[in-house]
Amino acid sequence: MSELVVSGVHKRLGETQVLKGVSFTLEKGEVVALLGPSGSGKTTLLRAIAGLDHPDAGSIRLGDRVFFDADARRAVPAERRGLGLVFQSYALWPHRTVLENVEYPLRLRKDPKARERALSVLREIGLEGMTARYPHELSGGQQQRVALARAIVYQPPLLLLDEPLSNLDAKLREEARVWLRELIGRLQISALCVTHDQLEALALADRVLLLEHGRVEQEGAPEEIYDRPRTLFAAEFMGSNNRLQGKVVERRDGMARIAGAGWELWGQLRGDRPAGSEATAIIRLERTRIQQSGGQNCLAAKLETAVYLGERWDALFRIGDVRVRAWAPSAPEQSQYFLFFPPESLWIF
Amino acid sequence: MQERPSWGRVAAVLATATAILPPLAIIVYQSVLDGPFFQPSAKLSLSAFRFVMADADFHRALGSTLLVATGMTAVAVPLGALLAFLFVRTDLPGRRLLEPLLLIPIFLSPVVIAFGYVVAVGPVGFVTLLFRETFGTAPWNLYTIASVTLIAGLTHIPHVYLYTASTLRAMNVDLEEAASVAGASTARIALTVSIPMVRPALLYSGVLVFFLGFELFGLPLILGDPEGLLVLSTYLFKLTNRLGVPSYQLMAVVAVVIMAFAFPLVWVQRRLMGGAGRFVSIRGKGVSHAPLRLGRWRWVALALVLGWLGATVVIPLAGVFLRAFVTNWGEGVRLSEVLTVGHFTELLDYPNLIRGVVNTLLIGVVGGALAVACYAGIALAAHRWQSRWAKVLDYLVMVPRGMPGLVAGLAFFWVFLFIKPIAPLRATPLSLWIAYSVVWLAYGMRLISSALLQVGPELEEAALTVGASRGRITRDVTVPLIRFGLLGSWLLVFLIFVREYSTGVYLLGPGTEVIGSLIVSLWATGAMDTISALSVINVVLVGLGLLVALQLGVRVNE
Repeated sequence: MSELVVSGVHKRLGETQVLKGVSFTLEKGEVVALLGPSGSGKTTLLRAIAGLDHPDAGSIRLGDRVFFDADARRAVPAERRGLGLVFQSYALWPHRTVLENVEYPLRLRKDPKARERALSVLREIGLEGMTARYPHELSGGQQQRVALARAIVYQPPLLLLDEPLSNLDAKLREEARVWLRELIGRLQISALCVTHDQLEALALADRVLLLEHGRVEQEGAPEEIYDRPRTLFAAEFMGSNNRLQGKVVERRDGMARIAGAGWELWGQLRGDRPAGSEATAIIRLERTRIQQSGGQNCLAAKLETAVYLGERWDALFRIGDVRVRAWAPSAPEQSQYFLFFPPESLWIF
Repeated sequence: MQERPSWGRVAAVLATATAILPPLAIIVYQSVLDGPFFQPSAKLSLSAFRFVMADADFHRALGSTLLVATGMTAVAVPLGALLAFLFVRTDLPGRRLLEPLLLIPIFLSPVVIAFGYVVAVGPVGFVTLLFRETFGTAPWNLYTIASVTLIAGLTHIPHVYLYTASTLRAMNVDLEEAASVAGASTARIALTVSIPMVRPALLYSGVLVFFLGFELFGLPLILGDPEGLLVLSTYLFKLTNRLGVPSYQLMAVVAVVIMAFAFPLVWVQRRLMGGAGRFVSIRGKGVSHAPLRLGRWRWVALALVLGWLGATVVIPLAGVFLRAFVTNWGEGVRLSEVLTVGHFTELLDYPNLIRGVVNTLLIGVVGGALAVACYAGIALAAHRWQSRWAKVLDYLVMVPRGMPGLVAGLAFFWVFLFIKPIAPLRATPLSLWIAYSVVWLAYGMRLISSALLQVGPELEEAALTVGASRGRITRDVTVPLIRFGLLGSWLLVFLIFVREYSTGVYLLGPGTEVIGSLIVSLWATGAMDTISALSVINVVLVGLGLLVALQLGVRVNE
């Protein structure tokens, strides 16, 4: 049986309809990421699941417990849902030590072994030397781990994470990504993670839900979302892309020829565009290849500028009116190149 | 979907209503009777209104009130804004040292200040006599409406300063720096960039000062007496004297008139406050920007500030202190011959005066703590409460704001007479405490609210998600985090209660004396020695409180 079932959730905040009917399920032991730009409603959804806000319509169930049902006018308050929530700002209580922060949930439940359990979780997380410290004496990464410890110490059936890595600086984020994934796996918890950072979502989740304007655009495994996007939004949101506007000239066997001012290319037809209609072609930057000579699906391009990023160069080209970027392992020397757009990687919506 | 109503919160609302509505109700009720409410023969009638409206003195008083209120606003707002600009934005010399001193006038009792002016710059004041000796003449008259207006304006500058300064601090300094880089002089920047951006604060404090003009009592009482100058509050106060008998219905009418002006002003302030923004202390990346240079004007500016401090604080306080330590004063008296501490030792002979000092301390310390506890209870009830009840509470809290201390004291006096079961309380300091707490309810709530604003909602939500009930959250998270704010509020309420003088006037009786109301009642008897001694004690108490507040780093807001 599914652990979490969210069905038809609508929520209006002030003038805006933030959630327009979101439905999804989460299985036991699964890690699901709610991925979307700001304004997509992902934090609102998380808060609704946690019980901090109540939706206007729909239902939320965990196992056989009904947390929220608009039709039955039932809403279980947040303090009785027993979920774990890690806030984006960590929300550690500044007037309590690390140990007191973590054992508080157990004290509320009148657990006689509160202190021991808290200490063991802190040990598991790697913070046993910090128990007597106050939150302001910890680094960002340590605070995050305390927040996590506090959220799992009472073994909730579901862990909710609100942008868990966004408050960390870049280097720390990389390490934390791996560490968090490993911990969740080891503890075998079900987790729902909200983020706007696609790397976070791809790295942490078993399944990704792409949210846009209060609706689920696409859901699936990370590879599926990245390699087989079903809509233009999904394609553009993930990765770094080149975007070419043009008209569909010909369609054949699931491929299409798209033409713009002075160029034309074959690509995979993703959206159902009839011949003669306007369309957008998307290709990931890493698939766009810089070549010395032309060929099938190649376009002549003039190098405008190149930016050094350490592990590669990000080069900007001009093809007629259009600007296209591509990655190069070393500094591009010439002024004229050819760019190859592999037809199976060029998606036409 | 609404949560279950929290009965604890609702109880807080009802308790507040019970404390606030009866006084208001009794004033309005009494104003439409033709005799005191305890007289069986009194019936509903508008005769009291007709009488007051036909009284020439009433109209004079009303006119004077409007004149003074307008005049003091015109004085306080520009000068207050200038002071705020000088202290917050420029390199005024000594600004860090002087800034705490700016707020002293708020905490000095107006009767003490007025008394101080009389003994300093009155017809036989210290300064006047000195001036006359040096220059041959002292060309000012303390007892005119112009002087009253000027003094009222000068002493209300701190109110304007507080709001303007905090707005200036919160403002984006980049805007001024951009003007500076583009070539604008300091004066130009002040006029074309800073001032327009603090317009909301100026507007709000302007309305506030105008509103406080209707509440003026001590100043016009003491300075208005010799020339028969009346404002609405002193007209009310003297009604009993004029007619020889307590004419409750006439007093009620005047109270209603005062409230008729006050309530709309309170409402306007509330509307403006939404626009001016909540003055939360700004945390975050504190970038310090270089202050604007005053150049040659530095010393002029400093002289201006010192001059204002001198005129508003030093002169009256010097007057009070000097008068308290001399046996008599007048033309040709030499200081060294008349110094004494007799006035203080004389106080010990009068049990009511001793009681007054003790009561003042008691109400300040214990009463202040109890009041802060009540305010905290009400504020916590309203905290993060999504309900129509919270709105009700909001409006309830505004009501006492529209009742100046004198009117509120009168109202509570009547409430204790009217509601027989609680009548015995009237003779105890408890009645005074209730009146004080209600009068300053809005102020106290604001203090606590600003402390509560510091508690990020996520800290409370985190407790919710780990399973804490609202009650436990208040106990375990909210209250510990506002501990310091509560302490600061206690200090400020102590200062406000000690400064109080008008609310206790009608409740004055054996057992309910406080320094402020004693001074008011002694003024009529001309007991200058006693008044000066009591004033010094009052100032010392306030001074001690301010020192403690400064040490603890308590931020003062209005």
